[in-house]
Amino acid sequence: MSYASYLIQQFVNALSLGSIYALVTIGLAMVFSVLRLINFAHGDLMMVGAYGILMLWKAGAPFWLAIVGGVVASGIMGLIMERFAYRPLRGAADMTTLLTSFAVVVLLENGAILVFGPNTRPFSILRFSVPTYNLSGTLISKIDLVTVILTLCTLLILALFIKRTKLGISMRAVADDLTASRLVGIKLNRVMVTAFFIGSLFAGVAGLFWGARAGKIDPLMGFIPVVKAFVAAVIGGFGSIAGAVLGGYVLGFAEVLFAGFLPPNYSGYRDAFVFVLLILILLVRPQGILGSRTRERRI
Amino acid sequence: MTGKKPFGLIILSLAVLGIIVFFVNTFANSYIKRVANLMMIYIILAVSLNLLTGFTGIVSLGQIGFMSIGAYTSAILTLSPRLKHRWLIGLPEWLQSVHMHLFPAMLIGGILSVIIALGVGYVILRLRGVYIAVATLGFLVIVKVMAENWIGVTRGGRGISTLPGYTNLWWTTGAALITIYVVWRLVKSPYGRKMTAIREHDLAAQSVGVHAPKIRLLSFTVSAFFTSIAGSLWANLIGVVSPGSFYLWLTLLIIIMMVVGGMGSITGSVVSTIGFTILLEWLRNFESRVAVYGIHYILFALIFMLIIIFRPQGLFGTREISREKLSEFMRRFLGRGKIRT
Amino acid sequence: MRKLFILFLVAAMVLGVQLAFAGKGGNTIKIGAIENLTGSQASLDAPSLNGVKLALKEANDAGGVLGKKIELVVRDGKSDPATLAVAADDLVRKGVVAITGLSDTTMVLAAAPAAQKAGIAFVTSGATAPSLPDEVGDYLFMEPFGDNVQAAAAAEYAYQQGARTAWILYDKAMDYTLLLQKYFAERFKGLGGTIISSDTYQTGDTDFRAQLTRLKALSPQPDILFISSGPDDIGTIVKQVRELGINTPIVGGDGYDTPLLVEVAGPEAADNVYFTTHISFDSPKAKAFSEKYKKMFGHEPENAFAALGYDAFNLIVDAIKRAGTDDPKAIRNAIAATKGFEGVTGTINYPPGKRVPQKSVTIIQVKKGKLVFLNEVMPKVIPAP
Repeated sequence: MSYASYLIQQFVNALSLGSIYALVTIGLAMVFSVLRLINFAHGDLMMVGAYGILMLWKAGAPFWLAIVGGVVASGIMGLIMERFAYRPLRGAADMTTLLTSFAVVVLLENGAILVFGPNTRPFSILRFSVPTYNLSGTLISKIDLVTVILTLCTLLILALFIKRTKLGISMRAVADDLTASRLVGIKLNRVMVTAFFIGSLFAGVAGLFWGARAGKIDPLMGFIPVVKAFVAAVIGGFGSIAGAVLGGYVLGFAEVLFAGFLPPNYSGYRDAFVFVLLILILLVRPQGILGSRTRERRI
Repeated sequence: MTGKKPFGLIILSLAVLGIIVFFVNTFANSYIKRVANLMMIYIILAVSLNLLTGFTGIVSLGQIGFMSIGAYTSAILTLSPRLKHRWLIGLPEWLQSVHMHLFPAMLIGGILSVIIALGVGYVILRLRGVYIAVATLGFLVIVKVMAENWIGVTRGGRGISTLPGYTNLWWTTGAALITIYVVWRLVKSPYGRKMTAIREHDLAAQSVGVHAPKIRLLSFTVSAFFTSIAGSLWANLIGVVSPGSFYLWLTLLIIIMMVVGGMGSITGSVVSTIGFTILLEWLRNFESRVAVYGIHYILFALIFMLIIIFRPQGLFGTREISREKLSEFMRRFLGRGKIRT
Repeated sequence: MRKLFILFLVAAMVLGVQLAFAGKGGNTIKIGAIENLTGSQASLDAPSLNGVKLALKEANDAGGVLGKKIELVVRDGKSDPATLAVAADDLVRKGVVAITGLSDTTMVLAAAPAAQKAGIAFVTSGATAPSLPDEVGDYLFMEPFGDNVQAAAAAEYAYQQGARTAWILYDKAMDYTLLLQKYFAERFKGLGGTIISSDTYQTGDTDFRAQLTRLKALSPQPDILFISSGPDDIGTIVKQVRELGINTPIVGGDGYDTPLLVEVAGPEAADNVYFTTHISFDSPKAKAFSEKYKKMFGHEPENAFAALGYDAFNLIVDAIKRAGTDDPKAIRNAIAATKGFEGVTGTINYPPGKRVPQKSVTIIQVKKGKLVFLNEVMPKVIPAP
């Protein structure tokens, strides 16, 4: 393999990885921008979606129905979560909701272990017989290609949604200034719940692709993605959808860089490097790459 | 602060405690001893965390990283030199031949943690709110990754085992008492008032002359020191240290204990830890009997959420035990009380 | 508030008393099982416990042991060393005569010392570090062979088949995977082979493409890939190896012994894979076990740990019969003297003074999603622990 084709292949790997990270981060960022809430249980919403899809598919539902059903299951779980865990805490400090989301994680993960059993399950709903495209030596898996396209389309659709539709504009308003939005008559509850619902739907879709890429799902699968999404959102700028996507790609590229270009006995330090990078960004530019300085944090 | 120090009562309580410790340490079975030791260790952790988060308002998700540092330091220093030569080949020769007892190992671990805390704290304590939570989480991850990869020193994922069981109830109870005492004194002192001032409103505190960065660093460092001590005690109790032992579940458990007890109440942390320990042990039996595992996770998460929604100040809020309140309570409890005004 | 406090106090006292004075005795023989039924190790230990339960049912249906029924006391270790230590003490307090369980060396190191101290035999069903018995003491027995044995068998087989160079990928977070590749490298080099390079990942990673692309860039390409992985990750790894167009033979250990390998990677990708394990699924014993397991639990054994748990329990029961008494020390001695015990995972012999069994290694090939039994071997040279 020539060095050029090595670089190209690693670039494609980074793009694929970045896309799935971006997809996971979009839902997290959307919920944060409108509700000011970091939902660590976002990863578990992914897990709920993936299990929903698996259960429906195994029960005999046709392909599309299983997928839609699972994603909707994520949405519904999200609504339940919002209603019982987060709504009572509206107005509380950021910290409180963060800690509560940890508690929700514990509930969901152990609930899933009790209901589904702790074991890993194969997830082959998106298996293609020839899984990869070969573009003159560079290989990209079909699932990854779909993920990349889906992520970019999502970005476009969301951008349009936020700029053109009434609901989208309301969301932006609430994200910018809560009090002013109320003053102009925006129904806060409806906007917030909808944002959470849409964010959860995204989690379900992310769960589908995350499971399909790995070929398996398990009750604890949501933990790693949400931590990655968290890092990606901070890097790209919390509260901005575009920032989320950008952060996802930056993280994907950083990880492939560490794993692919550092000598192998250092590649184990990958996660540490990523967090050092994160801390540096927090110190130097806490609002992230695309965030704006005007967004002040309540202490 | 009014009221004279109730010396008599304190000496009496200590004596009673001493007798209980003696009996448990000498006669109880190893199960009871283990649970008691762990409970004391968790008390140290909860009270240290409370100093940082409850009193000073800094949410740190990474304190367990200092526990890891204390545990590994103690492990390296107390492991037999013969095994050190075989396992920890990355250590310099003089370290490999060292064979210490618990107390010096604990102290060295504590000092190391203090130094690291000063460095880390200086860098990240200027962050606020969510961001400092993220940064401290990063610290936890970095410590874990180092433990996993610095194989010559930590033996990586295999961990260091066959550690001598130096920890006993005298050490753990003593350490817990010292932790409570130091934190108590700190909190009741002018430093303590400055800490709560920072917690309430950083800017206002600074405007009346509180040097916030210094106070934050003090709180962070003291918390790190005692957390590290707890780690050393843990290592020589369980006998094996591995990177995964000091990670998120333990972090969450201590946070739950602290919040339920009351952020800003030392008494709350102690009582809550005792309560949770008993509950945990009872559930251990219960789960096995009904063959439904994982109940304790769900129950603890639910308790946490209920407290945070309905009684966010925790069981004790910011109140502490004191002679007046104790006697008042006893009077009411024994039913003889009309409420004294 | 006052009522709450009274309730709390009463509850605490009741629980405290109950905890302090739990009983021994009764008409049953108590055997303890300590497993991580929650947390990261749950997917390994839960099947192990199922195997134990199956063996328990069979033993009790056949009349128990020494004329009494066997009572299984189970404790969850939560994949956490502190919990394991307390749980082990709890089992001792409950008066068990022997303990089985756990699939990871670090977990055993946290739990077994309590048993050692109390003079109660601990037979681990799934931990495979050959140095384990020495690190814990003379009451610790391993049911499976040591990693050095299966790694040596893999190295010898690969070399025999003509492999002279290898690339290693291993999980750096598990001691099983760390040790397996270490012993493999040692034996392979001892035979004259070369390890071109190695790379690592973390348990639970789902993307290995960066490491695999680096592999592809190696020139010359290695003859085999030795991938040291646990059962939950191997399917994904094999899938991605083949997706990246790498057709080199893949070699590994008993972590591959799980239906997940074929189910997750898919029959096309699960090809040209070789692994060492305890027994051929094809043998009548293994088939019978699989049937019984399916009947009791509704699905096939999830991985090799189910059979290992089954055998470990039966080993203990057999030792109790031979000892003729429920005295833990006699039981321990009976275990140490085990010769020719026929289990589902092979025949167990403990050489005198050794607590790692002498067991043969089975080599299995995966060919387009189908398992093919290749050979049953004892490696010629075994690296020291």
